[in-house]
Amino acid sequence: MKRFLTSGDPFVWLSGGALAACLLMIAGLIAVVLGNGLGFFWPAPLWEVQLASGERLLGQQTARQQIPPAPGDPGPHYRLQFKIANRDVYGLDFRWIDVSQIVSRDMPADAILIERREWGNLHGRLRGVYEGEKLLAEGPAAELAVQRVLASARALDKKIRALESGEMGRVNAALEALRLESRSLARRHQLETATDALEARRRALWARHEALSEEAASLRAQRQALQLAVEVPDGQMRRLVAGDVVRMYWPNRLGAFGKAAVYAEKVWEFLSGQPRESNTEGGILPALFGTVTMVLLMSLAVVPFGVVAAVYLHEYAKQGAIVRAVRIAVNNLAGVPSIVFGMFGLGFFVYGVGGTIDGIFFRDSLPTPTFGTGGILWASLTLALLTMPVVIVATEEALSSVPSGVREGSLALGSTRLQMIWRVVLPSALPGILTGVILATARGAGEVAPLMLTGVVKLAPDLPIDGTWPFVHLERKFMHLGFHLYDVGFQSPNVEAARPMVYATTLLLLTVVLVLNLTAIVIRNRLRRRYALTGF
Amino acid sequence: MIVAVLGILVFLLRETFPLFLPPRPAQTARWQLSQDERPLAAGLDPSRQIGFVVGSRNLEFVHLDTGRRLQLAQAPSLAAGTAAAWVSPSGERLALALSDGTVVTGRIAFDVAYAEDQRQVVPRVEFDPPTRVAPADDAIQLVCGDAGRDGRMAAAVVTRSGRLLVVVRAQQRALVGPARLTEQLWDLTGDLKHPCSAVAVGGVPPAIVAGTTAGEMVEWRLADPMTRPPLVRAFAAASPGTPITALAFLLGGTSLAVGDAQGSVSTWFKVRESNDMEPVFRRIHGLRPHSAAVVHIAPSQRDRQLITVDATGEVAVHHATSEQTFWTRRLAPTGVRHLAFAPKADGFLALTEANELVEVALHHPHPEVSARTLFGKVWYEGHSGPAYVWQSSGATDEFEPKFSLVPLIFGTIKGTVYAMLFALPIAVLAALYTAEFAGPRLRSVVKPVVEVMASLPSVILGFLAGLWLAPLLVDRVVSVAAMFLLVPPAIVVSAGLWRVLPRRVRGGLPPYAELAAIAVAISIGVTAALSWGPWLERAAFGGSFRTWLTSSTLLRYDQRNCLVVGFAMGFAVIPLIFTICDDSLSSVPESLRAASLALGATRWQTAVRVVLPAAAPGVFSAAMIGFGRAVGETMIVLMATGNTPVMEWNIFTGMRTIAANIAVELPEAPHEGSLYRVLFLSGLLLFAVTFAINTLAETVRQRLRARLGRL
Repeated sequence: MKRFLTSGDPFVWLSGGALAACLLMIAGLIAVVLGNGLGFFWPAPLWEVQLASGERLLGQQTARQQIPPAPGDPGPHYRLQFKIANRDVYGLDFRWIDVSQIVSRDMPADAILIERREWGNLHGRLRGVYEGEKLLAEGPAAELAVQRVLASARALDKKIRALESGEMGRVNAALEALRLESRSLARRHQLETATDALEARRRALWARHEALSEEAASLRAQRQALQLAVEVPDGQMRRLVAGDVVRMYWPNRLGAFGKAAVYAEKVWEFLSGQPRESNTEGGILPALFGTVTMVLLMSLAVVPFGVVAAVYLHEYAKQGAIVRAVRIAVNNLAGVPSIVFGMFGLGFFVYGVGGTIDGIFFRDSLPTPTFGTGGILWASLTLALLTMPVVIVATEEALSSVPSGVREGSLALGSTRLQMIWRVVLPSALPGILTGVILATARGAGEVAPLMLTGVVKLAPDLPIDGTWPFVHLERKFMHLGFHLYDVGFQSPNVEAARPMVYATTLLLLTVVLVLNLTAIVIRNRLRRRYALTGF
Repeated sequence: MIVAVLGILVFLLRETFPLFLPPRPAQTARWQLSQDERPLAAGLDPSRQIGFVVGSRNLEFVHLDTGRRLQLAQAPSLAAGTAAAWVSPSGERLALALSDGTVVTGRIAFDVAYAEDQRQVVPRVEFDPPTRVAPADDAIQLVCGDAGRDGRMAAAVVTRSGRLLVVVRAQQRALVGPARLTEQLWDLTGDLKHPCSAVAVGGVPPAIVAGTTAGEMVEWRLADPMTRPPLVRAFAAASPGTPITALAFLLGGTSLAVGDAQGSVSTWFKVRESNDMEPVFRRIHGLRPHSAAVVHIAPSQRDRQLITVDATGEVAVHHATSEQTFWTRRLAPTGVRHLAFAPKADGFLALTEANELVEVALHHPHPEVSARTLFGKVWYEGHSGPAYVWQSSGATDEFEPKFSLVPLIFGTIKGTVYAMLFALPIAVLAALYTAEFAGPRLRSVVKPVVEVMASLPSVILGFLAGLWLAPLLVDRVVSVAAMFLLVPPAIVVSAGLWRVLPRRVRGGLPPYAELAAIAVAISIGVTAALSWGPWLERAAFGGSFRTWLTSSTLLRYDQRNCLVVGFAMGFAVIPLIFTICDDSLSSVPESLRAASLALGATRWQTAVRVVLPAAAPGVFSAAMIGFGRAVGETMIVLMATGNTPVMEWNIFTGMRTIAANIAVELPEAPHEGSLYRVLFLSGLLLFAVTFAINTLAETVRQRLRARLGRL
């Protein structure tokens, strides 16, 4: 025993334990995210539960928990959590039920799950299909008719959307432009001369607006008429508008392939759809798009600056006290808390630069700020500043791994210093620089705190890039995966219902960041193998 | 780069600096009023364009930019001549005591009109019918009024013979029929032992407070208009025999400012001295005294500022809560009769004994912020004693923001300390193992994995900590504690078992077998802890640890607590510390290890006695950099704690850190307001701390590099 202790092996094993604990924690974290994130889309069966109180429920089991035992009570008791949906009927999405309360439970084949635009899911049985008050189909025939009705409702929806975002959007934009024009004229005291012309144009636009609104209203009335009748578990009949149905299926009838198909469809909706119900349902396309756009803009800003700074530091600057100070400054910048960058972004970019731009170029729309409020440009620039050290350090490392023989060879052949750097050094350092850029991108994609101050929002009406001139709208606020995660997980009114969505978002963000990082690591390892590296 | 760092620093300083600027007063105008009458009081509108002067027979409006008289409001009821006047701090209410013993109340409104694109302020005045208060032969010397929220108006008058009379006018709401206006006159003289020298009406709840010539204050409650205001208490407020010469309620009606004949100025508010007692007035803040008797106190309508005037004409601007006196000046050698604080607290209007009207502009946007309010204990209204409080916004305009950075600094340190407690041992030991005992192949796998760990966005860690770990931990605190106790022995036992294995078998295993065995040991320890935890909880804490905690130790248990933050933030800093530690450990020259092993030391002895001391500065700098990261971490803290600015070391409660506070409050903070600047100050603090830590760590690391290079 004594020999065992003096050998030091237990301590070695303890230190190994620390490492193993780290690795286990990472594995555990990824497992938690994967398990929760992937499981969300799998269509779970619908249980019909008969309670001792005579109540009937239709829901998906989500959790099982041991009830804290009362003193003197033998044996463990459990309770089950069901997602009973039908928020408009019960007011709650989830319900805990003691196992002892359950009389019987089975999986009825005709139980239907309807995902709706509002009020969450609906669990029940399809009883009929209506157009207005006219019954189109009933009973088993309804199941056939419903697909047809859903298709025509979708077609109507598409028409309405095209009308609203297309032509009506253009009319609205023209009206806003007219308003700004008249304000600008008023500022230059030329309004009187142009009043009549402006008024005529305004009237024409309004007439067009009215006509379009009427058309949209009639389409909406048609859409409203197509309805489904669904019987909820307690026997009530609910009518719902077919256009509000996002997806409906009979989970207990689905085989493995059918479930896989629903799964794939839901994953696709998640990746490509618009959010619904204050972000707790639907897709996250705007957040994904916002993240990607922001990161691209950031890279546009950070790469040239970072690389030029590193090249100067490494190739041109005299290695002395100043360069040492700069290195310390770079390292310091990397250690500055991200929230401080956010403050700087808000104070300097948004209020300072943005406010000035507004004062000069957008005076007509003041006091509504254009650039003087958070926006994707300012967020990207803030993050560019934040990730600059990553790029500089990686570029410098890559530059110093280029063997001096190559440089000297180039110079000996008569090239100038610039030619040497541009034609010889940079190409061979490119993988290293790329690593830095990828690492910076990964850091930028995962950073949230500075964005909260510089322009991220929970719900942005428009994407930063769209079909309206000038196509790229740098002043717009945007959505971001990380902020989406924070907002839905912590600020949403219905955290329980939003949880699966948050896990799915987490998984997506994690995947993006991990893929970027692993790419960088792989590139760097290849590079290391190519050039022997010394020192730390 | 230096420019970027300096730029951030300079920018933060620039945003913070105005907090500590002294007020810049500029005497903007001085107008001579006519000498043939004696003006009594003055007031001004929110934009400081129009002032008004209550004369002995009229009310005169003065354009403050030009000195032009605008109009005279002559009410027939004022014919008797004004003997005393009171103007509310907002400049919107008047109470005039006429020489025939009646009191007239009135309202002044400043309408804003636009004519030819010019902003114009149009004053308007209306008077209520007069109320007879005192007999005509007993002239009123002092009047003070107050407008209640429900249309009630109360005015107190002091007559030459020393009587204190109160008139209360209220809307009596009947069950049916229109509201009736009732008026009641009460004589409070009987409650006074000494002549009354100052009086204030108002406050929340409404009260009448009178100061006497003997330095005593007497308080009546003003509750029901139909009954005589009941006497609450009489108490000494100045040294005996020193008359109290000025009284005024500050904004919010909680604090009462008191000035006496010796020139001392103090503020009082009600404090509950024990749980079963009614709260009573106590002297809370003493302000810088005057050299002569205080004759007038003008409270601000924006914050807890007040201006005091003494008999020699000296004017002083104070902030009650922070006990600062910003500015003093002798305005007029003859003395100042009345002074009104501008409604936006950006200036004041003084009426001198020489019938001059002096308007002074004060530029002082952040009077509530001082080193004392930021870092010291301050006694705020409604609190039972001085405390460190962060509470930046409230429901009403009268709310006083409380900007103590101490709870935030405390929260930051608390979170960081718990995170480091968790992260430091694990990271350093793991680095030691990787650098010293693991083979190069294992190392080449572990390093990228840890790098991946470093790249995990903190928002993900925070989310998992707040929504996954926190609810999980609620019922498993004991199991977690058991884990820390069980896992190390499990590892040691497995090490013993490993030695029992024949050398032949051990030699044939791949290099990561040891680590795999350790992982198995950990899993066994964790499983054991999880399964025994509930049993242990029943045995030791009677079923529920949380119930036990709250009932036996009176500590709170929050779901999102410091334990969760410690885990999550530890997780975030482990890879940082690990990487730097591992780098510096593995750069210790091989010759040192070889020498140590050759002398017969075991591999553990070599690692701990030789390698670790040689690389100690690297370990130190790793810890510093980890510390710097934890200090500034935002999202994890934001999501995994309740963000309540409490100050206790209890691991089961949350906290609010500087970084999380910025993230929560800055988006809503008005640009260039006090909160905005205080938040920038806290950001500057964060910047300075991380800057210092990183520079230190970097210097230490460079030295180490140089030293190891020589070896």
